Amino acid sequence: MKRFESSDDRVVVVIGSGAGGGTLSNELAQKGIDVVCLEAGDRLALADIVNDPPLMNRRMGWHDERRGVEVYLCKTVGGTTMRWGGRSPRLLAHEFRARTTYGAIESTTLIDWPITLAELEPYYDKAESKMGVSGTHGLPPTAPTNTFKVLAAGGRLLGYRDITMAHIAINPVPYDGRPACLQIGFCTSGCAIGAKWSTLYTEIPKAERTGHFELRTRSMAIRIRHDARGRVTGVVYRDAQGMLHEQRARAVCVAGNAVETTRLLLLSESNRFPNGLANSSGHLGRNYMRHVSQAVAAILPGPVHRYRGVRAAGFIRDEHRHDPRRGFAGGYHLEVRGATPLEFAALAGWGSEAGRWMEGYTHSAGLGVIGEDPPQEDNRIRLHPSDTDASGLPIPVLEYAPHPNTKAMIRHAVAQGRALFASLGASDIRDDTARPGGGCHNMGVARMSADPRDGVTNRWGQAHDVPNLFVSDGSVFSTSGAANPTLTIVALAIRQADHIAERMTRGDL
Amino acid sequence: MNGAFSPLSRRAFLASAAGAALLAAVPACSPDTRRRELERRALVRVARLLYPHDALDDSVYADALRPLLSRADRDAALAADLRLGLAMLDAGAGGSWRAASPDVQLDALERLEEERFFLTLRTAVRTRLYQHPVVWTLLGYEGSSVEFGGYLHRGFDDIAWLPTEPSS
Repeated sequence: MKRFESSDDRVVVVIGSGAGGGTLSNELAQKGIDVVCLEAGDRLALADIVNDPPLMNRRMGWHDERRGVEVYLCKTVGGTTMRWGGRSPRLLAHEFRARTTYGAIESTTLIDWPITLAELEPYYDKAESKMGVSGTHGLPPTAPTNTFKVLAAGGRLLGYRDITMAHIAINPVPYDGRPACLQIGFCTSGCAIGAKWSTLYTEIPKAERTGHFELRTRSMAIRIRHDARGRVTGVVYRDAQGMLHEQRARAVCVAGNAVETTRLLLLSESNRFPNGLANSSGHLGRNYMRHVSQAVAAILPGPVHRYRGVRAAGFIRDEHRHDPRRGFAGGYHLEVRGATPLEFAALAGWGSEAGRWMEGYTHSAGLGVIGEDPPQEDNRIRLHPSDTDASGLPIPVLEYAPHPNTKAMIRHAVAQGRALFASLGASDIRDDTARPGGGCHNMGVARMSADPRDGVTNRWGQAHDVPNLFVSDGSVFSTSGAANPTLTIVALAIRQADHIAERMTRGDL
Repeated sequence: MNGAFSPLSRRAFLASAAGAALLAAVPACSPDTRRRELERRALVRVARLLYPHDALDDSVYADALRPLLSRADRDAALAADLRLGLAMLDAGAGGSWRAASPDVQLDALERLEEERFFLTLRTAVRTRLYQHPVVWTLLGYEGSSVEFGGYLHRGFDDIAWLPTEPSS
């Protein structure tokens, strides 16, 4: 395995090995560019992945102390590609022009993306091919599971027509050296056979085979350093023994998922960058978006066995459009959602209603709402001014309140979801709107903007303030759209790798 | 028998038939152990009221409580919370909560809904109960599947009762 000297200042340092960092690392390495990837977590083998969600959460989850709203991050090689459900829809053209399409919405900081769908389309194609997204580029759609059939039947009774089993990055047939899905049903606890795309068993080993890539696990980046000209020169990180090291770098790419990306850039403050690295706009950590994410579940007249098979099999796209007559801007998906008994118990309540609900488990079905969440200045991630976690780093604080647009969308979507199950004769229909959802999709804290005053990064994810610093995860999303973010993160990472390589060839990086 | 917990009356009580029955039911005999056993039984009853399943034996609820109780052995604050909660239940029942009627028990429990005692127990019981293999069997959940080749040939798409899809 390739090893680079810590004094080697020709390497690109990538922080994080998930959808953004893992993909970017491999894309750069394939071009012959030397990469050191710093990953805070450990590296699991397929044999470590078992059908035990609480155990896998302990193995993969990011459990350092945080305050504020809940997020579900991973500290493991592969990052949240270990936990994701695989759903891979594209953003729509109008979602790249949110400010233009929706107009000014009070108390939001809506902007347009500095890129268009047309510019990203070739990279969406590459991302889908890379990931083996079902129903694209000659791959068959995902097989319809019981729960998908429930969603489709109820959706049709409601008048929905755009119901798809495609756009899931789980192999419907053997692909790219990985096997076809066996409908195991534990996708979100790591796929035990590698049928679901995760950088752990795709991008990372491919990068390693190039001889241009070194992965350092249990290596927690804590500071990015820069020189007198304001160009970054290296990354200080802590190894498994608690020893500090500095890896020199010609460029640094940060892909720690929104919380850790924000924390690292804020921790990298200096005399030159007193508000955090690349934060002259003051936007770093702000415009934090989570997606509308709520659940509706019901007890149906016949058995469903929703735990069998792909958890995120298929979705309804009819509401993924901008139609202000519905009373809100932007759109949403209604998606199949699997659940173990423990997850199902989240809607149980207590007492006799809980017992009844739980004993209906085999007859239950569920759906998730994933919808656009507009950016707001005060929805933000910041560092606690004095409290530190067990490792001595300031604790991240996540401040988030849903916008009235988000609340209106939730009301609409949950009513549709309830009507869907009612149309099939459901006896007991419940939703989780008492508790705001989200926390798996984290976006916007270092958003791309055409105007450097509006965001942290430019159209390439390059920091406006620092020419050799890049952000390579969902933090760069200018707005959230309604599409699950991973596919777009991967497409942007492939595009960013092309850009970095081109600038290195030109000699300006 | 005034002063039920004075040494004298305790001796008298233990000599009685009721005391003998209690001793037979409670494995260890020190007053502390006995008190803890009574608390444990009250908590098992709370667990059942939170997530009632008639088909389940008390031992399953006891299993679900075990991690919480062993945590309480090491965590004085948690132990105090549990003890306080049980005292509040007794107060709510106007005497022994465990001996009260199911309706009185439920009513007293409901009044603690916003208390830390209630929230702690609810989370702890839910988390363990619905991970218990006996409960999985009761609910019809089949659990880990990778060792059986997933559900590909075991019914992932076998639903048969849905309305037929209109052609086109």
